[in-house]
Order: sequence, then C-alpha cells, then structure tokens
Amino acid sequence: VVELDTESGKAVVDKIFTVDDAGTILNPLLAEGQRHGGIAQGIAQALYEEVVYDSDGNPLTATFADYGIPSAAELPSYTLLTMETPTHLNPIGAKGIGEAGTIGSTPAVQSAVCDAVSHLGIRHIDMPATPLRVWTAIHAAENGQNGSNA
Amino acid sequence: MTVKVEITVNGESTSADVEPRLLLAHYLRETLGLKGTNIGCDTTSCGACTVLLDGESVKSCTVLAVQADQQQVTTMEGLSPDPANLHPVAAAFRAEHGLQCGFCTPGMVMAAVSLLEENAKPTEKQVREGLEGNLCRCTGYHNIVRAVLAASGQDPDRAEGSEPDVVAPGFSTGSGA
Repeated sequence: VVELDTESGKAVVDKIFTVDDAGTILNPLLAEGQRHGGIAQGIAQALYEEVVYDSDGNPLTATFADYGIPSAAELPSYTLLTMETPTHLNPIGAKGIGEAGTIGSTPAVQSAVCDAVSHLGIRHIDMPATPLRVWTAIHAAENGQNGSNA
Repeated sequence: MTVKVEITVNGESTSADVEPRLLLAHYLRETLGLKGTNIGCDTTSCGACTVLLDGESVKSCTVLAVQADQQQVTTMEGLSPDPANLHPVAAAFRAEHGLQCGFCTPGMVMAAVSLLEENAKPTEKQVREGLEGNLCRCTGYHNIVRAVLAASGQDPDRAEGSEPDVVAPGFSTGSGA
C-alpha cells in the first residue's frame, strides 16, 4: 500500500504484505530476515535507487549522500505470510530464500504507484518512481498528454 | 607535527601523539586496535563508525581525535562487560535477529543506546527516525527496529505504531503436510 502526495509526487510505502514459499524452512528467524532484506531492496529499486551519470560519463551517485539507499525512516515494517511446499529435488525439501523478497516487492510498489495516479490516465512511470518523475507524469497528464513519461 | 591527546576510552585512559588530521575512528582502530568500530563509507553517510562521545552518539569518521581530547569515548567493546553479560541493547539485537552480515551492527547498537538515552520509550516511528543516520543493507531494518523497541522494555508487536509481526499463521500446500 503506497501513499502518494500528488502535490510533490512523493510516494511512501505504508504497508507491504508478502507471501514466500521457500520449501521446508530450517530456521524461521533467518528465513524471515532474508525476506525482510529483500523486500527493502525491492522497495528501494522501485522508489529510490538509481546509478546516474552526467553527459560526460561522470558518476553523480558516487556516495551514499547522492545514491538513494533507504534508511529505516523511509521503510515500513513488513507483514510476512509463509507457505511451505517441500521440493522433491533434494532430501530436505528446502528451496532458496536469499533476498527472495526483492523479486515481488519491486513490481508491487511500482504498480501501487501507477495505480495511485491511474485515475489521471497514467499507465507507466519509469523506475525509480522519484518525486520528480511522478510529479512530471501528473502534470503531463493534466495537460492532456496522457500516458507520457518523465 | 603531532599533538598529544588524552582520551578515556571505555573507562580506560589512553594517550598518544597523533597527527592533528587523525580521525577518531582511526585513533580507535589503528592507534588503540579497537576494531569493533567499523568504517563503512568514510563520508559520514552510513553510521557504521558510530561511537558515544561523552554519552552522545557521533560518527567517529567525522570527529578528529584531537576534538575528543579530555573526553569519554564508548565503543562497542566497552558496552558489554563480557559476552555472557551483554548490554541490554546488544542482547535485544541478538534476541530479535537485528543483524545479518553484522557490519552496521556496532554503529546501530551505539546509535540505539544514544536514542534510548534521549527517549526511553520511543514509538516505532521515533525509532525509525532516530536511526535514520545508520544504513543497513541486509535486514530491511525490520528486526533492528524490533530490537530497539524490545530493548526499551516494550513488546515489539504492541509498541505504538507497530504492526503485529507475522499476523497470519503459516500454511502449506505440501502433499505430505
């Protein structure tokens, strides 16, 4: 669930619900931790993180002050739902869990941002959906250029 | 040119002739050999090098050793008397699995100690804002926030502004389950 300020274009993730099936779980605490980290990274890819170069090829995002790595203040707590379908491909039935949450959370957040402005006719915003990109898309839509992109 | 500094680190007085440009982080790690204080970004962004200077959290890569002269510094090593007797915040990080690779952990713990000193019973939002200067790539912050809430004597599932953790029971579609 994303809250979006149409004045500034800033999107904030309010809630996120995830389901993961990693087969037989050997250590629930560590498995959940892996999912947490992945969810955060996926949200960050959708909203914040981008490596930017200027026209001469100089990197503009060379430090954590310029690159949008999120802090605790930008992220919510996560709600996890667990499925355990053992795989038959190994004796213990376990699948992968390493940062698995990344895969689902990026499209979920990106879709939530687009959904929040879909009533304006906007169907697509490039990742990461920064306030500038969202604001530009909203203004383009209001000026009758539906579906245009930042 | 060197300058003599006298800094009390973890309760013990230390002294050295140092270059005026020497950072407190390097004084702790190189001069004293206290490697518990990590240096992540060297640009005051990540907070891995956070220590307490006269009880208040500072990023030690932005403090010169000469600025800490005649003051008290507490590092991760000085927080807990011994591994069997962890500081409440360190114990909470362990209990709540508030770390994965562990690189940000010393800084996170020191920042949390300072935060709880200022605000003994923070809400989830206050914890998140209080740790804004400390970056973590592994945990997504979820369990770090829970650890700080737990260290403040609150139930992380019930603290103000918190969502209960893992509300739905696990379910399985496995054939044998």
